[in-house]
Amino acid sequence: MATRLYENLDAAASSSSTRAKARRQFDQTLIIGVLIGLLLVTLVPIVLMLVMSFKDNGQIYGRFWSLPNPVRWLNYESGISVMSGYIRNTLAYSAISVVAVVILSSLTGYAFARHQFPFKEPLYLGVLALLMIPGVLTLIPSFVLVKELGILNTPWALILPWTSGGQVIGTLLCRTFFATLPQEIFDSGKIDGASEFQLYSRIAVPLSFPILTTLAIMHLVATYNDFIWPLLTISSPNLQVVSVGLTQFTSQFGITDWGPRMAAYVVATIPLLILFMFGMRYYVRGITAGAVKA
Amino acid sequence: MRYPLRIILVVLVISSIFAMSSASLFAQEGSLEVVPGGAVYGTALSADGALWVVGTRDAIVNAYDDAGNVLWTFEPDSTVWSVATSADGSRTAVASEDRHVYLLDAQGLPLWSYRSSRIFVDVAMSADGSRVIASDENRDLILLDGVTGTVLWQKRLLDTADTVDIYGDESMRILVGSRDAYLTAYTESGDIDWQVRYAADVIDVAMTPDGTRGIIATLDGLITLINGADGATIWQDTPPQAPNCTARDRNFCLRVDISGDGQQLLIGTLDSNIYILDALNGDIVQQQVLERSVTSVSIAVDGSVLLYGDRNGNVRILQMEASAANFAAQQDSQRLELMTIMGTVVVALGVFTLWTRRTTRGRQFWQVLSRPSKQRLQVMWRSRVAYFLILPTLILLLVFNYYPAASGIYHAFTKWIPGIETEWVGLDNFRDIANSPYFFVGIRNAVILAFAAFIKLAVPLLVAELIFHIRNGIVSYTMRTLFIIPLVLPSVVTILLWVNIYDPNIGLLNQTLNALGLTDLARSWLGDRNTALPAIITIGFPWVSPFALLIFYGGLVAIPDELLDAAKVDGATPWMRFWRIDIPLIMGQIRLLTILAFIGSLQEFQSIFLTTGGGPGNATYTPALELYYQATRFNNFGLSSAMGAVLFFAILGGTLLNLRALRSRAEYIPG
Repeated sequence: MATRLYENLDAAASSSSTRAKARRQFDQTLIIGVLIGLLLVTLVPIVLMLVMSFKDNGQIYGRFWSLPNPVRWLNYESGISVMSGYIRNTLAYSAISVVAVVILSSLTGYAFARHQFPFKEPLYLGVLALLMIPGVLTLIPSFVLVKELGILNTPWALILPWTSGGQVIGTLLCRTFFATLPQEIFDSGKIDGASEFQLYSRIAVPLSFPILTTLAIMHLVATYNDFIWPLLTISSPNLQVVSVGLTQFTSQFGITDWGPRMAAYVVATIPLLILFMFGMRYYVRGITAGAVKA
Repeated sequence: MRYPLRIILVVLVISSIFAMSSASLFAQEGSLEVVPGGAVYGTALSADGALWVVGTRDAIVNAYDDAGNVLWTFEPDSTVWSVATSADGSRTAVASEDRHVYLLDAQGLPLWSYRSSRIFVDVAMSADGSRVIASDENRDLILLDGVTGTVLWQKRLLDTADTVDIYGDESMRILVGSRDAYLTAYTESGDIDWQVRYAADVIDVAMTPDGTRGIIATLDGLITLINGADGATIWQDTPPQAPNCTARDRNFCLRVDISGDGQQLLIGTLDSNIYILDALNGDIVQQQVLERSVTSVSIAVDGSVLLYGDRNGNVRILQMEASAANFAAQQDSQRLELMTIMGTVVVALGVFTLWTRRTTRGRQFWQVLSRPSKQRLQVMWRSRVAYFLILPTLILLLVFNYYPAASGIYHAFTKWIPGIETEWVGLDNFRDIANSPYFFVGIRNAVILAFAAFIKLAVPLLVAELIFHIRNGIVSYTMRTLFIIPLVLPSVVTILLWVNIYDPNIGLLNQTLNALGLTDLARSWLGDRNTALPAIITIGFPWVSPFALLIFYGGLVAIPDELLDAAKVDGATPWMRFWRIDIPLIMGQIRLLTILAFIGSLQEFQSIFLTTGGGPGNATYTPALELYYQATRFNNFGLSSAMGAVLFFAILGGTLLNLRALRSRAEYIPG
């Protein structure tokens, strides 16, 4: 039996004959070719957006297929002026919510992971159960709740529900992470006379920096993209966020002015672009870690 | 032993639902009559119906208390065309033929007056008395400060506004109905918020104070119920004996008012008819024929007092005692609710006691639970730190997650107008859903979308496999990074970009087809019934979702090398390896993504709302869209909640099904 196995292995290894190598090379090139093809098709809308953002209406309607000539930077002036307010709002609300989610999730995850207390498991299950509740069920009642609390059409109508929503995943992530920290670290800290709070802030938090960053980025992206909730709760244009703002400013430019509109789309994308340039690693890590646990 | 208990519980629940839905209210009537002197041209009521103000052709304004006693009298120099009061009745505005608008205090003494060069036709006051809007025969529209009488702004309209109203608390709106058949809503600063055109001159308008509902009367004898937010028509009808309105009678031909809760309409006509209508569907609740033409009508905010004045100078007041009846009915239904809840709790306790006594598991549970409670409390106190740590989170979750969920399920059984009423209607909402044509189209579309979302997962899987096969680590990393680029685009931008691609004129799709000579295929992709939904599904082509890609890739990477090597040794082709090893081992990821795709597609809102809004016709309607529209356009919050509840159970059921169907024996759980 063993001999057969080794024979097969040898056969496999000796497929490094020139022909097999060439075959493998061809396969690899084919794979990369297909991937590049898919990639180009995926990038088409983005390229379209960029090219159109520099054209004026004449160029779009007349010379659709040619590159912008002359390049119309004016479009970006209007794009920036229109979007900057929305972007400022969105980043402000999201930042507040992200800070709140990170702080609260780490506190809660820490408590669940490292403390024992009565009803701990039922409470945790209670938090997890919220994952089962879809947005459609809570959309309208949340709207009424926000109205009755008197915070409709204020930033709090966005910040508080966002924070609450981010808590569910945040607590899950933080608890899982804190549970992996070895008890010895905390014991040695206690021996050195650290208080409970110091244990948390000096030991647990610094170690959890990567996961907190992941959480922060995921939450920021989620709140930046939220559309229906701000649509429902914010009616003043000067408080509105980017996702809804993109659909509302068209009245300023009229329906057919595509150049400035595309420029506005590009401007709206820039914050996420910057975020991903710095935080791509964490975001990817967060998702892939979740993949393994699935 | 269990069955009888379950039957009792079910019977209890069903009977309570029936009981509540048949709670009815009775109204007692009392009527009074007062004679101020002169044909009654204008009437107004304070919000609770305790103060009545009447203005007559003979230049008399009288204020009465709810017993019909005259509180004060004010006499301008000429005919009174219109009167209005603040909600508390402390301020009264009078529009008179002597070219003045007067503002009177609670004793009927003028605080200020405003003079114009022409006769004032109509006047209205905001509920808090802070704003007064007046229109005159010279096509002027004037907004005055209610306290000081200073002019805030003045507009010259295209045609005379015969009727005005003010509504809204935080965002005030001024409604103007004019002779050119336009109904215009202005903001407090004077900008036009919305405008609607009718078939004939607008002769009377009335809005609920919160602006959700309004009633419009036009010269062709039609009455229209509108949504105050955008002027959209809810229903339109004519009174059974449609009055023949001529331009000369425009001010008295058809008079309307709406109660503050949007429930009742009071209509008075020139041919001496009085109608009380149910505002929700336009049904006539009561009808009376009088001996004289009705010239003005008013109804109190809660519908408890109805007042109408006629050409002979008599004012009839009906005190419905409806507020008392409403209140009693509400109390009754509340009591029923309470009783049902208590009954359920008692039954539950009974079941619980039986369970812990009679069954083994129950007895064990009880033993665990009844350990010395003092010990338990001590343990809790010692771990108070932990409780403090999780407290903020728990509070947030309770308020913003749990409460709305519970509220959603509860209100699915009610007719819900937030802040105004919540009335238990049992299964009515669900019946409406089942009868609604939109809903079934929505379900069909949602199923199509869910199925498509599942199929679309094949692409990221393919890409993940291809990347997995790349030998060069650098190339593999680069490819992964490049395919994540689409994450950078906000989801709204993606959808709007595709709207542009589908644009009939300058959209990439049609431009490409034209360039290739396939002009016949070019069409309005989002405007054509047959292509709208497929177009929406195709958004994101080629559907390499970065999220799915990363998850699949993570799963593939987790497959232990030994399995792959063994497969190669055994001479497995890539195809066989894919089906026999990869797929079963990443079942966990496939399951996760399928469930997420399913949940996401059932709740799909953004892509439909931003592309077609449900059209053309109802080709792209989805349940989530219908839910949104019902709440925002039609104010049917109860129906909306019912839809949310139905979707919730559908999602729950679908998720469980998915979990069952995609189970795999070879699933690899690392760790």
